[in-house]
Amino acid sequence: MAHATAVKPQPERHRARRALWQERRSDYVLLLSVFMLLAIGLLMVYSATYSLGYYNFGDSMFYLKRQALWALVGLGAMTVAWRIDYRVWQRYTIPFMATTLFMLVVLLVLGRSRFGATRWLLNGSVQPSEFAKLTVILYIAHWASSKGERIRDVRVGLIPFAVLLGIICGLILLQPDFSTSLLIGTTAGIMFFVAGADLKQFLSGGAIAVTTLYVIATRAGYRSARLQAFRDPFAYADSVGYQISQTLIALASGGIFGQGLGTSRGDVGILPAGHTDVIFAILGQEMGLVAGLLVLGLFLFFGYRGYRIAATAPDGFGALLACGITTWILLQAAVNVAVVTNTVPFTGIPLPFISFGGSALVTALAGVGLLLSVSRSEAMDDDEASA
Amino acid sequence: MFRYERWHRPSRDADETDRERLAALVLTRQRRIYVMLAVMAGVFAVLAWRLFYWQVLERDTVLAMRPLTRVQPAEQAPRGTIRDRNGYLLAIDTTRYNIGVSPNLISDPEALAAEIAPLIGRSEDELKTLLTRDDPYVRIASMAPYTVGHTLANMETPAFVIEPVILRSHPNGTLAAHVLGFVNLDRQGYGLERTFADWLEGSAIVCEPPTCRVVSDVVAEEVKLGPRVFMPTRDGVDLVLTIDRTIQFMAEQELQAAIELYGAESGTILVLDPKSGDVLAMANWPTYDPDNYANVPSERFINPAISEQYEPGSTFKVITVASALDAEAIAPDMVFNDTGAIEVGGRIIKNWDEKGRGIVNLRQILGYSLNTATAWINTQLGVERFLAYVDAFGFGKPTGIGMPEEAAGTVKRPGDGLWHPSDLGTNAFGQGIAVTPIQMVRAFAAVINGGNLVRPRLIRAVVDHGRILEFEPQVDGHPISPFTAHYMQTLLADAVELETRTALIDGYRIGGKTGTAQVPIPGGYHKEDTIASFIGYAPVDDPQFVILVKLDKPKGEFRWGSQSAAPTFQRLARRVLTYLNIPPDRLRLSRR
Repeated sequence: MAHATAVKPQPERHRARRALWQERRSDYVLLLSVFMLLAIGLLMVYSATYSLGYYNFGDSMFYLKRQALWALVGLGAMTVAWRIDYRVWQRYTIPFMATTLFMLVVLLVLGRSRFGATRWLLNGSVQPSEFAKLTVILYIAHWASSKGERIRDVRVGLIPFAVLLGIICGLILLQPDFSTSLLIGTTAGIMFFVAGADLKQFLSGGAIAVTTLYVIATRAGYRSARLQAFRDPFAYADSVGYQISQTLIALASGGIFGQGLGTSRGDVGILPAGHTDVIFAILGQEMGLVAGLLVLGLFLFFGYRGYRIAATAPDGFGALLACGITTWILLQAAVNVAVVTNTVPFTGIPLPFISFGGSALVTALAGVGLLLSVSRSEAMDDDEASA
Repeated sequence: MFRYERWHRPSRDADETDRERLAALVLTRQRRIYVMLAVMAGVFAVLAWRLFYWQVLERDTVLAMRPLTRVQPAEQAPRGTIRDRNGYLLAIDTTRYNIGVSPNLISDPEALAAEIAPLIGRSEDELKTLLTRDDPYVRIASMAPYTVGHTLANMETPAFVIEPVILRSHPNGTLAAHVLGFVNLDRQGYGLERTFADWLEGSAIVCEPPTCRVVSDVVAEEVKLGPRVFMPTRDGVDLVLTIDRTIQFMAEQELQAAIELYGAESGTILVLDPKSGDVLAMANWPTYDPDNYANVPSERFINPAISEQYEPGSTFKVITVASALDAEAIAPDMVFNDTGAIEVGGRIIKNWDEKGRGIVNLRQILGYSLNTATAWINTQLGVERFLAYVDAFGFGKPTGIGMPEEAAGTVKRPGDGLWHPSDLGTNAFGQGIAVTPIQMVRAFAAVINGGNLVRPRLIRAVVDHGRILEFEPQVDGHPISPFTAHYMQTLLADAVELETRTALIDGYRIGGKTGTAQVPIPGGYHKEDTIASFIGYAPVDDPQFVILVKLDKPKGEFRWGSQSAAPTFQRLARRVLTYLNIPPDRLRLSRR
């Protein structure tokens, strides 16, 4: 069968093309950048938690062991996704989406509440909104690529897209998880844009979404407190600005070259969530600006490779899938670093590959597997892809 | 195989227009992907700039904000410790925590309530209502112990506001409460805590001979002033008292037992080292717990041993006799014909049993405690000489023990409007004169220690940042000669054997004098109420301690000093002799 983007199908080369496709190298450079981020992550998790682990569980490696286990599970998921032709998933996008919606609803009804938000299922081990990121990307990629040029039509493109996205984001927002909802919405919007949306529609829809989100953001009590803390963290350093001011102090004390691995936790619990959402601050404190720039560079490089895979993907689904996954990882990293540097108001979102946390790591690595699967099936020749 | 982008699916005979449109779509997509890459690169550049901003440009500004710790340092300066003469702790600063929360920072009040309820010791429901209150700050625990405060500080919740409070605590509970006193949260207080507040808070101490001696001038990590080695307080001065916590404990125990046994209202026991003036124990009943002073009526904070005046009764006869002997108004071998009554200054003075005992000597006068004979002795001495001796023994003015709340006592004098000629007779046996327990025990010590009026003291040494300053015992005069004092030392031992057998201790010779003073009421004396007292010392040849036992208003036959105070002395003295490792006289004297 010919590819959708195969503008000039050449049936006689079909066999050869298939053989070539199988020989096509996966993007090992991208994989290398992921491995480097993962290694930095494990190092930082250990450095940030050895005292916490010893204090809470009598085992300084407690958190490292758990994170390493999750990394192994994630690498397994990545390998599976890598080895399976990504186009297989097109068949399952609708069941996946349905399952995700079902889980989100179940979560709202029965989920365990932890830290004031209901984000976990099965006794705290599964966080559906993490998997929702992946299923939403798969679904949007499938849906948008199937519409092709007709996506410019309001009835075919914008309206169904807005309704679907509204439902998903609304469900996640009800947990309440503002940042994940924002992340999924933005990623989906960018995919919609890349899929070929009409610019006017895209911009007006985007304006409406931004207004809605702004209203929601300024209404919740804890979010307005966070806004205050964002404007002047040190003025509220003993209350709402505590976490962000401690984070900035951690960054500042690192300077250019850092104060050394393992030195950030002289006292247990100075920096709240130091091993999860603000691990980047620990990195900045212990290894300085140099390491921070290295991590930012690795993410940007990952983005370059990811978008390159998207641009050279053999079909629309692959292109949108690669674009969606890359955008998601980059956005999440950017928001996390922006929070740590007080560029945006405080919100709890993990740094991909680096922050402590099982669901997020497994999902991110599974996403990398999909990216690699797309890269494995680049178009036969450049003129075809760029035609 | 895969049927997607159906609308574009090229047919075999591909339409050129379709192909072009498809190519345009793919081109748009690729362009837009690279636009996104550029946007992301821009975002990351901004983030890199932000990192540079915080880690390099604003670094010093942020680091200046660094002393931001959740547990704020206490505002109060730490106070030095108070220790007994051997270095054992009597009072020390401990840290407690006041714990509050900012409810708007709590995401899940229910879970938090469940988690901290057992720590704080409140019920979960009660905590939940507190954690959901619409206030910026809600106090959930006051004076929580150190461990609780630190456990909460280590929980990664920004909602807690944990303020440390320095609290004075007393590891021995009520022990020596009246001596130590206490400080409230504003650091105001009673007792030594108030008197030596400046020292305890670390102000400079002037140490000049001969009153004070620098034992060690190096800043020491550890100080040894007795068997107990301790670390000096960093920013305060540690007081080392003359109190021995063991003797203090024995005294308090015996006092409490005596009050129960004899139905007394209150009482005081003083143990003094007659050579140095060191107060080894100062016990009062009723007492209070300095850690829980809030519910105690404030009059109980006053230390009766130094602030309460009483008529000493017959114990004062020792002073009269010693003065008369020293002035040579009477001879040691004098005799007196006791008829049971004598007239002094127009007033008839009788013995306690209103009986006469015929010809008596000094030993019998003191032993039978004859009012008539001591009144007669005082007439031999005369008013002027008597009052000169009273002054020399330190009555009528504070002893200088170093506590501002000390009472002076009351001594009547001719010409002050209160004096009556008969007072010469009644003062002789301790009526019409008011003294404090510390004055009485000190004057008694002077009678038996060779005639030195030592100044009673509570502070033996201070440790000022490891610098050890010891205070020298002070002598405020010599009211009687050593010769008289030596005679009194044995006379009192002979006398006590005569009738006050309840005070005697197996194996040790003791000396002493009972006292049973009627309680003065307006217009005369109360018929039943007495102050029963006994002052004694041991061993007789080399007094190691003087004990004053004073019991207020014991019931029935116990109102006589010989029936209540003397046996109390006996029980306490026996324990102190054992504690001080003083061998029985038989062994001790044969070794010489």
